[in-house]
Amino acid sequence: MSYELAEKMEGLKSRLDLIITGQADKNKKDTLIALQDRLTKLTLVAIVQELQTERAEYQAAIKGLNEAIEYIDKVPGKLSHFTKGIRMVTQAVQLTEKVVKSVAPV
Amino acid sequence: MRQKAETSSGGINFDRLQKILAIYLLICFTLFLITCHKPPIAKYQLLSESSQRILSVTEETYLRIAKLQHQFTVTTADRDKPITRDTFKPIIDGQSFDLLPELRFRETAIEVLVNYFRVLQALAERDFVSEVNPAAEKLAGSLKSLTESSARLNRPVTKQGTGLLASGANAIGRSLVHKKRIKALKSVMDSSQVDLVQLAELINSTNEKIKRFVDLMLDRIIAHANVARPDYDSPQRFAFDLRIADTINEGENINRTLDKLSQAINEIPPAHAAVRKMLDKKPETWATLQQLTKDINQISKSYR
Repeated sequence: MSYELAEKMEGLKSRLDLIITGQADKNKKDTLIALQDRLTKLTLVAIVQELQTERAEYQAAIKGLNEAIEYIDKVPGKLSHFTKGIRMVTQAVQLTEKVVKSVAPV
Repeated sequence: MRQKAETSSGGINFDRLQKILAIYLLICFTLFLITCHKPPIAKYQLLSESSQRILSVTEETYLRIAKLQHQFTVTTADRDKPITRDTFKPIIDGQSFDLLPELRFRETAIEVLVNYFRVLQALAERDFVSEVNPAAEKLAGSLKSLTESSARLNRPVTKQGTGLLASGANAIGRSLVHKKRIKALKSVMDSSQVDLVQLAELINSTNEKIKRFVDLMLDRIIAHANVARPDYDSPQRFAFDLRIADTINEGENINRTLDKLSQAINEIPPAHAAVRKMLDKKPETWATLQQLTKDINQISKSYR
């Protein structure tokens, strides 16, 4: 059931409201009210079904955000590469120092 | 004699080398200070807190909708049939009009939004510098040792030169982690912007439908109240009217809050984009974030 149909059912319900207002017979009034309840519930079914169809779009947006969360979680791990880089530079400096010491006067 | 010492090791001028190294590190340190746009931590905190507030108000609103739905199903239950286990269930002709699974699903979507801003805030705030510092300090120590060793070739190294090298090494470490963090923030925020816009639009669209759902339930509750309303002189009249007035007030309050939530959630993508821009340059205006703060304050006052 489409959302457009739900809108039409709401229109029908409004017309029923007018009939009920002018209805004096209690039994007929009760029947009309029960009919309106039924129409309302069917309209609510249509709204719920419309909301269900939106789920796929929600999931697409959520997927993107979940991927972003995963990416952020991995950043500290990527940082360790920089620490490794600094360690390598340190080793190079230490090696240079050894060369310097070997040529420096004691 | 000095000239001889300076060039004695295979033509390498260590004095000159030391100066070049010091100047290089000084340039690195200066560049780091110039390009040091720290992540706007307070703004990330604002985004995170705002999304959390949106979630908590949404949860409360959904809980109230669930209660209203229960009242609706009881009020509009078939009066001519005996009560069974299914009498008060949100079902018509075998079809469910139960809104609760949809509400729960959307709550989960907003939880993802909250989680996104929470990890974003954590990335902006995390003290990566202290994590990289041990390696950088070791490098600084090695550089200092190298400087002292090379100084023995010609003249004693000055304290100023050693300090410069050490702080230069630390600056490189800080610069590396800083750049890495900023790059990660930019990358993730750029890729998430579209999803945030889409999510905000979807939540807005959902809220409009939920409002209609609430209005329809409220209309039927009122219609039944008019049929069952005790006579004016009846002792039950006041209590009955009071209960219905509370229900009407609750339904209207729910819809007002849904409007406020939509407004607040609409502010999230532009605020996110504004914070992203801050990583490149200082903004000329804080209007977007100020509006978000205003909207969040508004929804916080709901149901009071």
